[in-house]
Amino acid sequence: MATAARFEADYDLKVRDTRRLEIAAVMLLDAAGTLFMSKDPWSIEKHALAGGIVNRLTALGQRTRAVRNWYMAEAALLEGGRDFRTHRSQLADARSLFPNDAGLLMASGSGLETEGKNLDDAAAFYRASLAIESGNVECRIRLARVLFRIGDAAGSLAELEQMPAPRDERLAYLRELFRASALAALKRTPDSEKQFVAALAWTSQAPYLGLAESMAARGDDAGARRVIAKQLAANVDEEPWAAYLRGQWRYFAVLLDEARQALK
Amino acid sequence: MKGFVLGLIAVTAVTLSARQTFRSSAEAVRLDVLVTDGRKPIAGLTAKDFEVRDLGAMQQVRVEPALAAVDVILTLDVSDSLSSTALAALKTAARQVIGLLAPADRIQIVTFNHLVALRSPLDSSRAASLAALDDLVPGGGTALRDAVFTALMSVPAPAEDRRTVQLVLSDGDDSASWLGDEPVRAALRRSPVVVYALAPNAPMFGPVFVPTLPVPTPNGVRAGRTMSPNMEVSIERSGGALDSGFLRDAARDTGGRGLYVDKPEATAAVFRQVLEEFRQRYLVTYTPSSDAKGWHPVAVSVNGHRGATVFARSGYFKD
Repeated sequence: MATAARFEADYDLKVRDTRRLEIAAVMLLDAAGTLFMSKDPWSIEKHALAGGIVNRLTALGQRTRAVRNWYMAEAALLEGGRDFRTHRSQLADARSLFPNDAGLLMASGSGLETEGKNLDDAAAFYRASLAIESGNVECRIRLARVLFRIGDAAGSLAELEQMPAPRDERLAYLRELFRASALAALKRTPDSEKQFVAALAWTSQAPYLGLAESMAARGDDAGARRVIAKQLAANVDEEPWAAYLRGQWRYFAVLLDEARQALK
Repeated sequence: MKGFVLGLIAVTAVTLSARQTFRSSAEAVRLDVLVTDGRKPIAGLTAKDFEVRDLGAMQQVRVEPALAAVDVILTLDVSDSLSSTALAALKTAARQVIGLLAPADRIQIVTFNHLVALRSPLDSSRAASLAALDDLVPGGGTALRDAVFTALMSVPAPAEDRRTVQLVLSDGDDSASWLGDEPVRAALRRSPVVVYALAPNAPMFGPVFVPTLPVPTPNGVRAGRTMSPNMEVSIERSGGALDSGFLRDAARDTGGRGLYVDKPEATAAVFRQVLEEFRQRYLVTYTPSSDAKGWHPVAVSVNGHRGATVFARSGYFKD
């Protein structure tokens, strides 16, 4: 009997104090995240307990900000753990509890994008999220990247060029980087290389690689070697692209804090 | 048998070694070829043993043992998935490689997680190369393709009197590269560098969580599943040779080999094996009968040695 009732029985979870349940769920998710980062398998147990409590809360009709934010933080953790199946099902549940929530829609798209499957669905989630919250810069950048991966480089470029300049410098960097790759896909090699150079303002690794690869592909190995020499001399210590590939996981602490804030 | 290539070398009356002279103003193709009996290299082969087809046409070849000085590009994965045991074994193996180098040989050490770092350049002293291994600390994601490309482009184009081997050790699970497989493989195919790819088995790397516990959801309880921060072991295992993935392809494209390292303690032995094997390859040289531009597929085979396996590049680009 794989039901919520059985889980409640297993954990003797008969509490009806929803505030205490919300606090416990957030605390346990926090513990699950901490254990996960230290590669401790007990993370799974903590996550299971937290999920059981949220299960109980929703059965009691709780549709609070704390519960919604818990789902957002949980999605980030699941994306970090590359547990995409649970990510999909949990967010499907969350969307049914909180319909038309731009954050949950974006998180849904992010999971699909990070998994690399159903990219059309990821784009649809991002578009739905943007229809509610058009000013979400990361969502628009992600939509552009997914369009690029689908093969719609022109659509990707249009999204990136029509959006306002991001205030967040990491997002600004990603926008420059993604414009470069879209231009490359459109065979606009000189524009693409200029764009990679523009992205070097952030001093990260990917623009050097993109530029060197482009030069090598057109036979300028000496030029490519010069670019790589600069890359290695630049002492790069951060690559927002690598963080981007982890989806919403990099926001786990922030999202967890938002869940905590909702308890106050 | 798979054929593989090396690059085009412009030759202008240059004596590559005491035993190798090219005709003036010719464009020769030089293939760096390994022939094994399935276990160890076969020595003593001559030109009459080799059959080389370029664009399908048989070529007249010259063959000599590959005696040129060696440049080793060590490209080491120090991402979060590397266990402390594996890191210690890696350092030991790398130190051993440095110790096995001949005086004219050189070594460059590149490490990577989600970022690629040059630890010691090609012209470093042995002492500097050894010191570069001291402060390696695992952490971060894995930008394998970026690392292979960066390492490849971080050394000068090999001189005609030298040979270059890129020795890559990684679990093969690329989680952070900007570059895709194809651009990096294209760069490798244009280069004369030979890639040896070594992939440790999963136990060398960090724990992969065992999925056992139920995960409750509002709709019931679902089976638990793996949660791993960085890695999904993506390389299949088969008889010690890599049979899938970018590492396998990179080795195949360049005429190198992809090998598994069964346990951390075996890393040094495998490194030694690779270096010794690299010194037992052949340089097969010919002037192609066709000067057509573009990709020249090359097939190399050995006659009269039943069970012989040939490792050479699959072709080259002629600009």
